[in-house]
This record gives sequence, C-alpha cells and structure tokens, in this order.
Amino acid sequence: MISFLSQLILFGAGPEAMSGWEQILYLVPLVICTSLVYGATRHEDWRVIITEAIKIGTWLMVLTAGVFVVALIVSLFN
Amino acid sequence: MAIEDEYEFDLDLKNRGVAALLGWLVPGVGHLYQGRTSKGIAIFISVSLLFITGLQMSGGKVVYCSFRQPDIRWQFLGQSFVGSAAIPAVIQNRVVRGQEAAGETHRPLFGGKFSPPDGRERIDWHADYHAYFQMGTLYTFVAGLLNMFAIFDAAFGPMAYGIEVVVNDTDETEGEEVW
Repeated sequence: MISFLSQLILFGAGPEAMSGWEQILYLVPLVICTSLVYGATRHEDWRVIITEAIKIGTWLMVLTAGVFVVALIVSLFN
Repeated sequence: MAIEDEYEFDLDLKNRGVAALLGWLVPGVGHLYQGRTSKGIAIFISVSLLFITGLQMSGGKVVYCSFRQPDIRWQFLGQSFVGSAAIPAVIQNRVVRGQEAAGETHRPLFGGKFSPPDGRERIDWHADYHAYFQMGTLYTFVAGLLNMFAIFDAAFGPMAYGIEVVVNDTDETEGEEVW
C-alpha cells in the first residue's frame, strides 16, 4: 500500500505498476480532492467545508459504486 | 453545524481580476493574495496533486494543445484552467504548427514538454502508456475543472446558497452585497 501511494503521489506509476482491482484505488485521490475543492469553493467556514466535502465524497462513491454494480450486472448477461 | 446556520461574514476579495489571474496561473495563489490562506493552501495541494500525478503517470504527455484533425484534443479545454501548463502548451502549439506550415521538421521547445504529437507519435504514446494515458488525461482534466471553480471563488466569493455573504471589493468605495 505504501509502495502504491509513493508511486502514485511522488513518482507516478508506470504502465505495468498495477493491474486489476488496484486500479480502483486511483479513485480515492480523485474523490478526496474533488470533494474538498468543491466544498471549499462553496463555503468559507472550514467546519462547513469539511461537512460538505464528506457529503459530496460519499455521494460520489455511492454513485460510482452504483455505476459499477449496473455495469457488472449487464456484463453477466453478455 | 448545519450548513443553513453558517453565519454571515465579510469577505475582502481585494482586486478580483488580479486574484482570478493569479489563481489561473498557479492554483490557490489567488486565495493567498486575498489572505484566505488555509483555503489557498488546500486548493493548491489538491489541484496540484491531481495535475502533477496525472502528468507523472502518463510521462508528461497528456497536456498538449491540438485542435486539428485527426487529433482534436478537447480535454485541453479543461486542462487550460491551470494556466502554468496551458501557456507553454499553447506556445508549443504555435511553434510546432508554424514549423509544419514552413515544411520544417518538428522541433518543439523545452525538450518537447506540452508539445502536440507528431504523426505516429500519438499512437506510440497510447501504446506505451495504455490506460495510464486515459487516467492521466482524466486527472489533469478534473484538476483543471476544479481550478475553474477555484478561480470563480477567488473572483466572486463562495457559491453558497441561502447564505448572505457581504463581499468587499477594495477597488470600490462601498461594499457590494451579493447572493
């Protein structure tokens, strides 16, 4: 995990660095940064920003998981 | 604390145009100029992390300006909201297209950073980096769009609904009430 994070954040990952389910981890920084910046551009108070960021982050994860489940179910019938 | 309970507050945006320009050049710097330090640092770290990570995982190839067939790089419209990358990309585009028009060989500046690909080079990039080219494009594209929100926040204040924000613009003699 630490190796993955160091590759991802500090050095970037090469084409063969990861495969399979580990690629889903690329979603984590995307969701954290998106929800934090989006929350920060809507409010000034940090307590409200964090609350908003958690809401948006949760909503994004649920939406992504929903799309994943739908795609998985569709793939079972193909 | 419920979001609806957020208190009214004064916000000194200083010179909005300068703040927006600084925020476009380097994410978060517009907020630092306005004295919104913690917010500026959070935006700088978040946007830069996404943008640099996207560049790193794709060998720095994903940010370039090209709007000519067969390579219509529409993702650059999002990436261009990070000005420190958009400016060299546009310069590279003008240099390379000028060389092509003059019938010269491709000789981009800065060792080819942010330069549009030459012919088969684009196919080679996809072959070399596989899904990481798409992932890097997504990261840099999202980083650019997030900075667009940040620039808007630096220029006009937070986009909160139902909250009264009194915005003071130092260029004007009186405060301007918005929202």
